[in-house]
Amino acid sequence: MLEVNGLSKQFGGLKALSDVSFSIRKGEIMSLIGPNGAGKTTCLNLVTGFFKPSAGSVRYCDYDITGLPPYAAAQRGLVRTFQKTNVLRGLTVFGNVLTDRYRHGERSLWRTFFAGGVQRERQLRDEAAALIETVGLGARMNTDADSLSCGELRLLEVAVALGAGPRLLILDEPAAGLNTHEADRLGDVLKGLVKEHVEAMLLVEHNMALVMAVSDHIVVLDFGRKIAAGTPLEVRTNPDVVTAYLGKPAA
Amino acid sequence: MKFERNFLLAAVALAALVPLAAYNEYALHIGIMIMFSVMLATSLNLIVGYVGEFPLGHTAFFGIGAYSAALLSARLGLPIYFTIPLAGIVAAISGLAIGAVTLRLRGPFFVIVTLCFAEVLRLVANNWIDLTNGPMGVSGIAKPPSIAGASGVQQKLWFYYAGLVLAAASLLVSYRFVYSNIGRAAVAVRENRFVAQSIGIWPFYLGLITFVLAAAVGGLAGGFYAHYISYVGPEVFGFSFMITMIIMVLAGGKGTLAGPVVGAVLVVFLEEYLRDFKDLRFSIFGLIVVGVVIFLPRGLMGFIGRRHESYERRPAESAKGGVKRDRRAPALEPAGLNRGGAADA
Repeated sequence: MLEVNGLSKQFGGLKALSDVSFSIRKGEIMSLIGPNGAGKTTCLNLVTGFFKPSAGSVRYCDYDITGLPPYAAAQRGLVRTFQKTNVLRGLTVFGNVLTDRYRHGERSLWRTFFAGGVQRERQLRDEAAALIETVGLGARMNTDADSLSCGELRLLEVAVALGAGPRLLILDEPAAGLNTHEADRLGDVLKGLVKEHVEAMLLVEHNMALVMAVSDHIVVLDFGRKIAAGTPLEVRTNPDVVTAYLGKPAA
Repeated sequence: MKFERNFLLAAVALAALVPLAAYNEYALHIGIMIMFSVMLATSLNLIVGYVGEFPLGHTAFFGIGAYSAALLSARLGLPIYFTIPLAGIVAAISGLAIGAVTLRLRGPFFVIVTLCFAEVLRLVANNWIDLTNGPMGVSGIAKPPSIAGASGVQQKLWFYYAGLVLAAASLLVSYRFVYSNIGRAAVAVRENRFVAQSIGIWPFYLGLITFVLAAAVGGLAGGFYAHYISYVGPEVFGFSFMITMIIMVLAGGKGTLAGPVVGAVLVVFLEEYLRDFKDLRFSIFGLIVVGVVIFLPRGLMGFIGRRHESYERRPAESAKGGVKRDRRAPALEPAGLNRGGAADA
C-alpha cells in the first residue's frame, strides 16, 4: 500500500535520513522505532509531504506521491497525527471532529450557498458524533478540547485523524504521556481500527510494550539509517537493535 | 452560533424600524453611514477574522467597487440596480487576482503586499485621466430615477433601506459561509495550518474563497457609497477608510459576525459625537483603539468568538450515522483512562 524507496533527507551537512526503504501492506500495522534523533519523525514528514526528500521516492497505492503537498496526500487518504497535538484547542471535541470531516462535506463555494447543503451537513454531524463514540469519548462530546485530560486528548487525536477518512493512518507517538494501562487500551483501539476503519497503519512510538503488542512488522532506525526490520520477535532479538538502544556490552 | 444569529436578526429588524422613530435627514444620513460601515467591516472581518491575515490594503476592493459603479453609471448610463451588483462582481474578480498573488505570503509580507496593491490602484486612479478623470474624480453619478424628484429626506430614506438590504445580504452571505463546511475549514487553517493540511484542507484555496467573498462585499459597499455620495475620487483607495475599518473590526470583535456590526455602529456614532473636538478627533480615536486592544483584546463581542459546536443526540436516529461503528472494538472509557487503571487493577 505504501512503498518507500531509498528515502534520504539532508539538512545542510546533517544527514537526517539516508537511504531508508520499507513497505506497508493492506491490513498491516507497521511501527517505526529507534532512539531519539534516529529520524523517525523526519521520515513521517517526508512520507506525508511536510518535507521534500533529498532523494528517494514514496509510492502510495501505485501513485508516486513524492514531494506532493501535505493536503494533497491527505486528500488521497494518507492522514497523520502530530507528536505534539493535532487538536484545535479553541473548539469542542465535537467541533474538532466535525471540522475534520471537511473532506466529506461540501467544498464548492457555489453549492455552499445555493444547493441544499443542509442534508449533507446533518449527515456530517452524525458521522462526526459516531466517530467520537467509536473512540469512547461520547460522554465528552460537547466539552472544550482544552479541558480534556492528557489521555482523552490522545483519543481525540485518533478520532480527529479518523475524521479525515484515512486509508493509511499515520500516528506519531500516540501513547506519549500515557501510563501502561492507558497505553494497553489505546493498543486495543488501534487494533480495532485496522479491522474496521482504516486499511493500514504506520506507527511511530517509544512505548515498546505497545509497539510489540500491535505491530505486524517493525522497522528500526538509528542515526538516519535502517538497522533492522522484521516481526516484533525478530527485532527484539536482533543484536544491532539491542546495541542501538542499550549500547555495546562491556567486553 | 444561535446567539449570533438571533443578534443579527434582531439588529436587522431594529434597523428596519428606525426610520419610524427618526425620520429626518440627519438621522437617516447617520443610519446610511452605519449600513455602509457594516458592509465594510464585515468585508474586512472575513479576512482578519477567518483567514487570520491582515490586509492593510483592503480599500482596494472598496475603491474598485466604487469606481466600477461610478464609471458604469456615469459613462454607460447603467441604472443603479445593475451598477451596484456589478461593482461587487468586478471587486470579486479583482479579489481573485489579488488574492492569488498575496495569499502565497503570510504575516508581515501579506500586510505589505496588500498595501502595495491599494497604493498602486490609487496611483492608477490618480493618473489614468482618460478613464478616471484623475484627481478630479468621477462626479454626477446618477441617483435612482424613482427618487429623482423626491425631497431630500425621501431620497435619504430610499438609500437607508437600500443600504439595509445590502448590509443584510452581506451578513447573510457571511453567516452562511462561516457556518458551513468550508467556513469551519477556514477556521481550522486560522487556528493551526499544519493540522488543517494533515486532514486534507488546502489553505490557499480556502484563503482565496474567503478573499473573493470579502472583496465582493467590499465592492458592494463601494458601489453603494458611489451612488450615495454621487462622487468618487482617488481617496477611496486612501488610508483613512482603512483605519475606520480596522477600528470597527477590532473594537467590535474580529472573528465574530456580530462584532463588526457593533463596531460599525460605535464608530459612526463616535465620529459624529466627536465632531466638536475637530482635529483632536483622531487622537481620541487612537486612544480608544489603544484602550480596546489593551482591555478588550477580543473586542466588545469577543465573548462569542469561541465556536461552541455542540451535538444534540436525536434518539430515533442515533443508529443511522453514516460511519461504520465497530461494536466489537473495545471502547476506551475516558473515566478509566483518568483513573489510570485503578478500575482494572
